[in-house]
Amino acid sequence: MSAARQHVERLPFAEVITLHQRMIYGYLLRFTRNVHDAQDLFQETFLRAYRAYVVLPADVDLRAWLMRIAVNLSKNYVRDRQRRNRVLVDEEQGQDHAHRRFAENSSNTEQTMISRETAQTLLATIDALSFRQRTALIQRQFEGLEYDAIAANLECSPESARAHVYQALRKLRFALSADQQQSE
Amino acid sequence: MRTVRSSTLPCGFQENDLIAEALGEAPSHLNLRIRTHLFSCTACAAMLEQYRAVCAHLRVLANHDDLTSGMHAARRALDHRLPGSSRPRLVLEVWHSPVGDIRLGKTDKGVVLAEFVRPDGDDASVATLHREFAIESGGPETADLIQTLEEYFSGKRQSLEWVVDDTLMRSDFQREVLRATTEVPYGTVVTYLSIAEAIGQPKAVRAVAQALRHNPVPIQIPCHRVIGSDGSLTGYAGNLVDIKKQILAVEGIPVVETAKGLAIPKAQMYVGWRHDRCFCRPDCASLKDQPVRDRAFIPSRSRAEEMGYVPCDVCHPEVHPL
Repeated sequence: MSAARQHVERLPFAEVITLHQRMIYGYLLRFTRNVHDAQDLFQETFLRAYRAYVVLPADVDLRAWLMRIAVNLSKNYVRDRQRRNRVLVDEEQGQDHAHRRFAENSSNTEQTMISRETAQTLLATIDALSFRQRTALIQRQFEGLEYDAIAANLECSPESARAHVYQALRKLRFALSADQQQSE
Repeated sequence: MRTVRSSTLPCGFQENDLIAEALGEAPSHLNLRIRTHLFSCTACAAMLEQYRAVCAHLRVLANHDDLTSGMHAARRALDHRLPGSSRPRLVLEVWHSPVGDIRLGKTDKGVVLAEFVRPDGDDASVATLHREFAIESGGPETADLIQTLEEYFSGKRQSLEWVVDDTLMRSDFQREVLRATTEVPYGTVVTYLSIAEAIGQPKAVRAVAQALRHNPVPIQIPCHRVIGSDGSLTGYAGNLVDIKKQILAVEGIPVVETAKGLAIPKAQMYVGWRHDRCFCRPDCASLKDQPVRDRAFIPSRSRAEEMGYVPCDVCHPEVHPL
């Protein structure tokens, strides 16, 4: 175990990126739902990690460590975006945005088997979740992380991480059933 | 958005248990309890179906995202911004030398660059360096280079003794030319032709001149000690011939102004035999047999003796000095 970790510790940083880039990019893309912002945050995550990598203790779990950096950056991202958009965006514009973003990359709709309205509702609801609920939901349902890992990323207990996911799912269910009632 | 907080349902069942079941996280005892309950409670059955639908939708959304292309583009951009991960590290510093600013560059392998900063501010080379290297600014790592240069310019040191990184050399031909140039001793000059002959390509004089013009590590590789066959300085890194004159002056080599520009006074310099390590007057009869690659011009008897060269026994420069 310790030998394996020491081996990881000596990895050139480029290989560290290669090992973890998929998970980090996946999280950031799903969190921002915007390719450009995800790419910016992706670079920023690894640039920050690079600066700390040389002095990182040998027994650090690199995956969790990188994810924590990405999560912290995405937290700032939400804050900055809110500041930028405070005056501009109301609820409807936000939904428009989500719709447009889904339409942008829905080239393979026949494979997805999900109506555009449903996707729209889900994405808008995820966008409106609190930072912790959104991060926990994305990491659990999209990235498949365990509650322990999510808890480490959010610096909370695994029970809280689970509660965040469940609360997010409640809101999603509520949003979808409200949608259905409306259309009926 | 309204908050949805109630977790105990009208039937007394916990909503969280239904979510756990939909996620497949419910432990087996709970699993059994839920199944029994669902027989009698249609509200919970409907709600569980809704949660299952939400999870299914999320899975669809997850597969919907195209991660690959965006990620690879981000990775390429990242590689260009990361110091050291894909590009070698280069420590850069500009030193204000007595003959003009010198841009010093050191990699982990050695000194890769010591170019004169052009007065016209042509920084194209720096842009190129940023593509090839992860640039850092100088500090302790370039301090020792500056110290050796200071000693050289004040005449306390004849050789910089730097380890050279040949990354910026353009071809094996150039490496060969620069290697041959390194062997020209301090305080002497040779011609482009003698370098061309030394590398076995006597007809490549112009190519030799080009290779020296693009010498990435001047002074350490003493291209200033190479001149035209007629004694003219010709050029230095293109148009910096005045710097060449000043560096030659540091090494005690006289330069005079002639009708054809700056030149060394060949007729007033001793001629050294590099292979036999002896020196002649410029009018010595033995010189007609001397191979060009062997010929070096030495400004003074004392310099020749310092180099360990012995006087020629035909013209006896020790008896008939210039």
